[in-house]
Amino acid sequence: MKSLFSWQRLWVGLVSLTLALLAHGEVVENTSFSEPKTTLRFACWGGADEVKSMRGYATRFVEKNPEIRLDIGVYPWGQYWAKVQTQMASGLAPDVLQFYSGSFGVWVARDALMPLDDLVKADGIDLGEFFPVTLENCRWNGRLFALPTDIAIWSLVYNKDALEQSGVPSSKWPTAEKPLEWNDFTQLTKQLTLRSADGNFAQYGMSAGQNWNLSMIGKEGGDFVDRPVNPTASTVVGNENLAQGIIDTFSQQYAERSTLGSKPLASGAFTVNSDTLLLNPKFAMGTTGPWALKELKDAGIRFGVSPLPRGKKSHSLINVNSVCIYAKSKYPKEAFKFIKFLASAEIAKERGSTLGGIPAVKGAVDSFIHNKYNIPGCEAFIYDLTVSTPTLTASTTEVSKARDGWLKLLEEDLDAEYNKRSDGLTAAQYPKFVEDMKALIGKRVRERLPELDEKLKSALSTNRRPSMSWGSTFGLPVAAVVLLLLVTWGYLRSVARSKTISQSGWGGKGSAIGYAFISPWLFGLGAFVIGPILAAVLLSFTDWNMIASPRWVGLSNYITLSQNPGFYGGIRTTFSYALMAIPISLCGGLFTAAMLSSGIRGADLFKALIYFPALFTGAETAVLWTNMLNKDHGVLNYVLSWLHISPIDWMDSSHAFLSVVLMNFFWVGGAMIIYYAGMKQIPTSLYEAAELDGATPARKFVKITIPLLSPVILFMIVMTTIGSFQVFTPALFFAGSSTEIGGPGDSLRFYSVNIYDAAFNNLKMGEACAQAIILFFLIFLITFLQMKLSKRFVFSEHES
Amino acid sequence: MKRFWIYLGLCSISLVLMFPFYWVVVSSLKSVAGMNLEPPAMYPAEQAVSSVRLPTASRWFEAEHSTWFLLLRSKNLVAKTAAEGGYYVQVKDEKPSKLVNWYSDSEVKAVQPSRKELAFENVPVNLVKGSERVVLAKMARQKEGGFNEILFCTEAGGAQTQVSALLNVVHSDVRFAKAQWSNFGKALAGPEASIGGKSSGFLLFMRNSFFISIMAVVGQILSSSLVAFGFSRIQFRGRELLFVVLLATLMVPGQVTLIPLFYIYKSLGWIDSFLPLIVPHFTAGAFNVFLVRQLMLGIPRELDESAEIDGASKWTIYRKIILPNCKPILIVVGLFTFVSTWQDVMGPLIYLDNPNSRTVSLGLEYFRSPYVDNRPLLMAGALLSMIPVAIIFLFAQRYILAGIATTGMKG
Repeated sequence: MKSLFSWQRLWVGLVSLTLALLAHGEVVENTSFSEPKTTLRFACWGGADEVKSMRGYATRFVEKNPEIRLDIGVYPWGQYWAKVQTQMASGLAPDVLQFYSGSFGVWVARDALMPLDDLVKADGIDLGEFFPVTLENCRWNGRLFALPTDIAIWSLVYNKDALEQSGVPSSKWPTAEKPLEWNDFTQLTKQLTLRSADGNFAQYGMSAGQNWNLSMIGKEGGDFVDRPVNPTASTVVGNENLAQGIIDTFSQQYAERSTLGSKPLASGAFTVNSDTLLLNPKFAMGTTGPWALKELKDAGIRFGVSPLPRGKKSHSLINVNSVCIYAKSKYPKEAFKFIKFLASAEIAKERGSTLGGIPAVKGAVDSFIHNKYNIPGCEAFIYDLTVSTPTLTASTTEVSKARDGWLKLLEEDLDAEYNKRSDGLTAAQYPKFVEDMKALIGKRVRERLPELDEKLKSALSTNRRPSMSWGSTFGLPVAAVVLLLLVTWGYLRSVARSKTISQSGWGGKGSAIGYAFISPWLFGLGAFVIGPILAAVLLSFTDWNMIASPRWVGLSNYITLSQNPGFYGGIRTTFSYALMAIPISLCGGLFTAAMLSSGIRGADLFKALIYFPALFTGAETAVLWTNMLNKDHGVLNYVLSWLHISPIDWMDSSHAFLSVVLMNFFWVGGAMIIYYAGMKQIPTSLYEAAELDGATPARKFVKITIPLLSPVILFMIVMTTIGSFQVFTPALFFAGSSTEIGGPGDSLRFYSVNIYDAAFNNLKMGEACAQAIILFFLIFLITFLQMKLSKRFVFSEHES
Repeated sequence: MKRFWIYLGLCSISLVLMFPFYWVVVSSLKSVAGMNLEPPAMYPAEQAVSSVRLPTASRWFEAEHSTWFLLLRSKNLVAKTAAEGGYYVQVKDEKPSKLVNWYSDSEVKAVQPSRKELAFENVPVNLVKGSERVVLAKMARQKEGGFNEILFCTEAGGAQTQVSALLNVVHSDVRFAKAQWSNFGKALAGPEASIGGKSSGFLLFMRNSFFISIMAVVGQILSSSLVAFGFSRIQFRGRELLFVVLLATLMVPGQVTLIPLFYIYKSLGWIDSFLPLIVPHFTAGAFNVFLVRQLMLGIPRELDESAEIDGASKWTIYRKIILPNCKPILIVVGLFTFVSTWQDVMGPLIYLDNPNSRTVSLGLEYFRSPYVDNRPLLMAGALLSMIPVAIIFLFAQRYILAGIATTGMKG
């Protein structure tokens, strides 16, 4: 008993130590004011720089409003939404949230945000202060849900030296006040594109940086959907303006190549950030936002800024950063004070004068144009702001995903064609090549548009629910659950019975002790496993956005899933992954283990070396992998170039899947160690006997090692299959951000990615739970089948 | 001969598998510019670039010497065939004094960039050759700072400096090895410090991570050995059934339990403390129980039977007989637990708010910024975060490599 007591003391000590470290979020308050205070929780995203500037704003705010205490959380962009949603779902939601226009729709459509109209009226704040277009991205069905803080716009930036050198008279240079006409712009890019005799590019006239394609596609006045905010219908079919916009945009990139397309740009090592592309003398023009200008200036680049070129109309896209109040915030008045402060001219002037972003408030335009760094030409951004349309903001991320995915695949296709056809081209063939490519681009775009239309239509209808009868709403779910419980119970019992070795210990004293020993696990099962699983089962029959209370919808989630091609796509991707990962781990593991157990010296060292990489599968290796796999400055392609293999874009939609599969080679050590352990258990007498019979090593391996190892092999296959269904991290770092997870081009839409996407990008927790339940049974079924099938092949000592 | 092939195979596999680690080390010592070199430098390399300011007032230069050569080096230079004269390009060794070869305008060709050879496609300036002298023409049309290298030299050599005085420029692009040890200092100072703010610092993250991971290790070792003992050594009602349930919990996807779990911890008032990251480890992970149980099944039953005859309680059998025999697998369990808690990002992110309670893996996320290229810092941080795992592996590897028997071939 004495030793038990010391365990308890240890436990108590640990818990109290942990509690001592109990911490709070970062709280900013005015300590000179001691009256009772309201604590406002504020969440925003960013890295270290945002942490710093937010701290500054918060300090100033609490000085003016001492009755408010601010609890600020700045979260990394990649995990911002997951964090905020988890807090919301359990009632710990921040009162004030930061949004950008792309994500705003999902939230507002699901009633997560508080309408601000009444607060605006009560406060008397003049909405006319804001540029009208910025408010468009904050409104939903006529009501205001957010206040814009700053805007991101990418305008045209050019290198004056490059223009000078190409002999462009300064009278023809783009100006900050007026956009170039598309035709003049096309001429200019051609003039600035310099090719050497062998076809290599000495200078690119233009480059398709951030938002370039989407902005230019709209220059003829065509758009993908009927309206950018809360779209209801696809407007792709028969939209000549849209088709023309797409064809013009891509013709520049993949026929003339007077503009370097975003695909070759992204894979190239020109610069990490396309906003500061002009740092590279290879580019005469590019796109950039105000935040990048200082870096260009510091590098000594002589640049000018101009609005984006115009076709039938001027067009650019804006991304609006805004602040909102959580729908259920207890302190709407205080929260409004804070968002008003964040959206005020005071902050906007500050951010404007340091070129942090384009101010949403008209009153801050002057300090933006006459900024602290004396960078001229910022009028261009203001011009683009006034002619811009809001970013596509739908009630589901599927809409923009459908559009962007389509564009990406189209571009990859054109890029491949360009590379194929331009290979070994002589100068004489060049004009014909351009004409052919133009014709091809026109053909491909028109061919593929109906496909886009279909995608958009299905994306726009993903939020519609199938109509449900009473039976499928209540009867069937209950019946299904009961049936499943019975089946599971029966199965578990039969397994339990068949495996019970002796009946001697049933009941009585042994049971109590047994349960005492497994009590830690039983406790965990009850507290942290059963509860959440039951919750997931129940939630799978509801529509739950993690904000409002769940609404019972019966089998609706399952029916929606069964009609969703993305769901089957996820299963397919996962299975193909498993089918490729299993042989890698099996062959790699067996091969290395066999070599190691052949009795060589130094086996321990090799074992350690091969096993070591298997320890590092976490997200912190993402930056390493993306760095190594980069098409142009990645070390992998560099090494392959020694073998005369031309560069491969490991991270595009056609190779990303392969790359993720191949990464399994680095984790082969995990399997190796287990096979090695299995091999060590095989009695050496068997080998000795075989040797006497004159068996070759290969024969021994096939006839002795493999059969005796078969239980281990089966175990590893089962584990790898389960692991494949949970693979997630690689998808995250190939997509770049968690909102684009599954990309590039849906190539990494694993099953687990679909679950994450439904839950955290589209606020459909019910559907995510339904997928998880299906997954559970899927894994169960696969494991069961593997066990059954293997009965015949797996060696068992009991039988022989 | 057979041995030779085995060694060759193992050596090459190990080399390939260890290469990413070599790359982390190299990258963490690079500068941002060094990271963007193309082709990538296989060692921490720098490019010496002194910034170029061509005088803007005068754009024509003349030189008295009869053989001045202007060398402009960049991977791809702007092509512009000068109608009014030729241009001369010198391909030479790294040192300007050693002139190896030179081309006239008709011979200017793209030379594949490689280390020893200078690369040219074309030269953007016009060098008009006079009878006695070379005139450097229209120099300033080139971008300021646009070149990787501009060298001026005469056959006599050493003229580089003279011309640089004349033109106020010398731009060189010579790669040389240089390690940025300061990356580690910056990484240790923490993400906010890297942009000039106040930061809680990497060492604090380390302390937090260590605390959480070690607690988790203690919890898993204690609980999984107890539970495994129960499952392998004691007969009780429903044992097999519960064991199947235990294995089934392996298949529950984490994304779904995340929110209900958060709700539970919130009700317990554990949010913003390390408890949610530690306490569950005291309730035995299913896979760990499985591993430990497999080993326990291999321990001969005669041992406990004879002890039981001597009147030992189950607890004594567990403490005195089974536990000492389980040391290898418990070390393995400990390592697995340490590694997974150490690398966990989602848990700390969801449950912790205070900058002072960030863990290493979470803290690293704050080095990422869409606007600043922090990759060398990220790499340095990643390397620092890998070191404890590597050290622990060093100590525990003997046990892991001795083998993890996952299947009771004997039992």
